[in-house]
Amino acid sequence: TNCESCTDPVITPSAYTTSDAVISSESVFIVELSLACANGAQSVALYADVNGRQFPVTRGQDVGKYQVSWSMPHKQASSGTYQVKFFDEESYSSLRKAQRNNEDVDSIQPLFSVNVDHRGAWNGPWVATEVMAALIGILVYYLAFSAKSTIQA
Amino acid sequence: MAPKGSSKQQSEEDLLLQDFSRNLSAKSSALFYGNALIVSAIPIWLFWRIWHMDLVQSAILYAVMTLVSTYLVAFAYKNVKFVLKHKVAQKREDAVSKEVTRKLSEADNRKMSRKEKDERILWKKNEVADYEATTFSIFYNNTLFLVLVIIASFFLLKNFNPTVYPLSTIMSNAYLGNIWVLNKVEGGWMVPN
Repeated sequence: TNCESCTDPVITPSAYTTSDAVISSESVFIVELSLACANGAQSVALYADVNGRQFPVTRGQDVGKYQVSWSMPHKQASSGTYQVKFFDEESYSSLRKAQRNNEDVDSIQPLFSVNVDHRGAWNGPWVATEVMAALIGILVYYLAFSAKSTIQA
Repeated sequence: MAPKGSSKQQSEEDLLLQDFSRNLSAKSSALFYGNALIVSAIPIWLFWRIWHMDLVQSAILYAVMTLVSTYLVAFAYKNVKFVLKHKVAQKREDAVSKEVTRKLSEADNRKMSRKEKDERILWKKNEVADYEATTFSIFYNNTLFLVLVIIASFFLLKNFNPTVYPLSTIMSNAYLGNIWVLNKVEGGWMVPN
């Protein structure tokens, strides 16, 4: 695989985070982005770093599309903004070196970074309360209506 | 509280008039409007807490909406009650006459004419039917109103600006409640007085 470096990256990111904790076992984060480089590099090897964890970034079907995803248990996936730093080959190897030598990791400049807003996952009852209220209301109304029909019969 | 005395003719006419008119006694009116006010005030809680429509900011909107809906809901109460009263009276007639005859002692039974007994039964039946129709009308209309508020505000109008909600939900509900009731009496549409 040819590893090219990217100059002046222009990104169009989009992100997805888990919103319902009732039906899933962990919270999932997905970041997809389109990358356009000034030097026209198309298959750039990227690595993502989120809160100290590194993940490889996969290339999508289309040229310039990249995706990274990770998951963590619901309890740890607090709501807020997660900063995802993207490193290319060079900066990634300097990052790893800094980690090994216990140097300051934050001083390594990423190629670019994306902020992911996680609104938190819903952990409430299965059925929304307004649906319950509507159903109970309709039931009571049905009773009233049938009583009225009996009277009017 | 059965009317007695020489004005028997008059009281019978009064009873019949009362039976067939849509006018409410003061007590019924108070009951209806009081209930209507309380029921109309309930959705305010909904709007305030769930859609964060501030009380102070939208106070005028709330006040207008509550008053209009109170009037419409009371109107629906009146209509439903009127429609139901006769049917209820028919159904309760036997039970009422049995109870009235039972309550009269032997001596009274011989003294009172057929006519007076019938009049008493008619009066009692009117009173019972009135009360039952009133309470049922309140129950029925409250249920219908609240169900419509919930459905309209949570499901039908979900995507509109929250300011629209009170206006449209209340107006449409109360209106629907009334249309339902401006009812088919013997095939035709009844015109309110």
